[in-house]
Amino acid sequence: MMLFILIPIIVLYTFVPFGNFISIFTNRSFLSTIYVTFLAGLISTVIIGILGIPLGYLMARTNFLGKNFIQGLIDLPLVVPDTVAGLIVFLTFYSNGIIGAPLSRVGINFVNTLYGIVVAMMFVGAPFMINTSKSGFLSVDPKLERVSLSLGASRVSTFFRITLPLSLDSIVNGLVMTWAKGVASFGSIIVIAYFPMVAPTYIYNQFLLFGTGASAMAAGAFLLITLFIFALSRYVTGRLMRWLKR
Amino acid sequence: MAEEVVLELKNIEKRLSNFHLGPINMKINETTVIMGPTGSGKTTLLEIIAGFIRPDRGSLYFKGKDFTNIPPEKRRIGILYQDYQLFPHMNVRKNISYGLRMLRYDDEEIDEKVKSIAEKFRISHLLDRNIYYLSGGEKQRVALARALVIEPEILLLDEPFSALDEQTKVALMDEIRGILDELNSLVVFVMHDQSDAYTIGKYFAIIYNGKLISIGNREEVFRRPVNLTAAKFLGYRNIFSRKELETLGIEKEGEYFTIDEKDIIINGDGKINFIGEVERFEYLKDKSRIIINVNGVRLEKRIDGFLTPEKEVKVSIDPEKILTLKD
Repeated sequence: MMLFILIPIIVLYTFVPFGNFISIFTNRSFLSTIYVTFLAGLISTVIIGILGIPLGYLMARTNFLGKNFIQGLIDLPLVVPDTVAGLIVFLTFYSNGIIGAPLSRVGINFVNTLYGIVVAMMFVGAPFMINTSKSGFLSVDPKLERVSLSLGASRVSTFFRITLPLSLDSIVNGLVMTWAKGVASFGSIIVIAYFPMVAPTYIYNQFLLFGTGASAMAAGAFLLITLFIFALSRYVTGRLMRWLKR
Repeated sequence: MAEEVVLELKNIEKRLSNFHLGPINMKINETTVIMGPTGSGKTTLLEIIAGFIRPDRGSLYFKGKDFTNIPPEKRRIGILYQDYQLFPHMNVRKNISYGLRMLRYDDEEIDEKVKSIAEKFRISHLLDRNIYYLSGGEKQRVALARALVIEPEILLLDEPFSALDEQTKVALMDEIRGILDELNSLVVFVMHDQSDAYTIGKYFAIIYNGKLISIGNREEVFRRPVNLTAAKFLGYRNIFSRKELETLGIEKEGEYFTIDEKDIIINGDGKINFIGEVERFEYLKDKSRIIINVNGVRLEKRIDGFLTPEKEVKVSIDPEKILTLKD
């Protein structure tokens, strides 16, 4: 399985002209796309975290009429093709869209702006956050919460002292996956915001304009940076967990 | 146990999907064991008392005050689950001090109380240990210390001994009984093991299919089962229909009857004597079990020690010891 992942990555690097490879890291337009991509990824992850974690808790801990329908809605972005997701986001958020129209009147526009990239990333990333946090909350025995209540802790205190620390692994995993899905998105973003260019759009653009060498160089650099951020986030969260569980 | 402490359940009812609990009416003022088979609703009742589940109908009173709508965190009711439910991300000290911190005791008081309860439960040496490295018995002591350190008004214990091996259970039961006797809290157990219940309780209730079918002291519940369901649950083996009783030449009002096997005398003299054919005989761990057929009616008795089986034995019973069952 590891080979299945590794071989295409190695193949990609065989197309990278290594003589010029370092130069990509000083290329302003490339660095600007990296900045936009990671910034939009971060903003969308924070917003999804704030909205998605409580929804995950609600889905894990309560039963209500229409819960299966809500779960279906949550999962929908996973089965919708990326371009269709982009179209959905565009039609909702463009200047005549149901959400885009009132916001455009207060000066918030989504087409070809960072806002557009953020909402597109949110749409495709939300299921990862909601479902992983839901699994995390489900893994915490409700009896632990009951014991906490019996010991005088309020429901809010119980959530922050018992439920959240015990499901933190899943929540952090959800945040990382949401961010990863966001920064890797192409089809869903390109429909609403070709500009400012995110890394996947930039790589596609390089391919169309300059062919495999240029696009492989950008893709190779993007992969390296993403891998570094992934490894760093796992290391930091690992340390954080150990500190919390001390 | 302070006499004035009274927990009262009035017409408590709860529907959970296709299970219906109640109506339950109970007055509890001493160490009580709620018994019943798995799925009978005894844990649901415990969780209603603790406030984790809201009853659909009925009220709960503690010392005459209605606390039906008081949230669990304000009830001061400690709970100990069968699987202890120690907080896995906290060490022993943090587990025990959790409730004290929630109740805003100052650090000095917390240290003092944790130290004192740890000494009482002989777990002082475990205070800084991760809970993953505790044995079953140690986990139970920690869970009990955690529940008791906040000095709860009521302590609820859900199958506290069922996860322990026999040796640990016997040792812990003795110790815990001693500690509970000193407490000012009202203690309510939920248990399915009747012999454990018999040992540890003072007052008993049997819940069957969500209904309270028997309640009373040891003698009333164990020695005088009120109905057929209670008799069967308590393991009464000698249950007869009226026709069977008539076969033995005894006439009584009612449809079903039982006799405690202790009241069946083998090879002795009683008010009515029969000659019965030994249908089955087997050796148990430290007893013998004999099934005797008297005119088609089977009588069963476990005897301390070991008997040498014969083909026929003399069986004696006292008709006055035969109990009429309501169902």
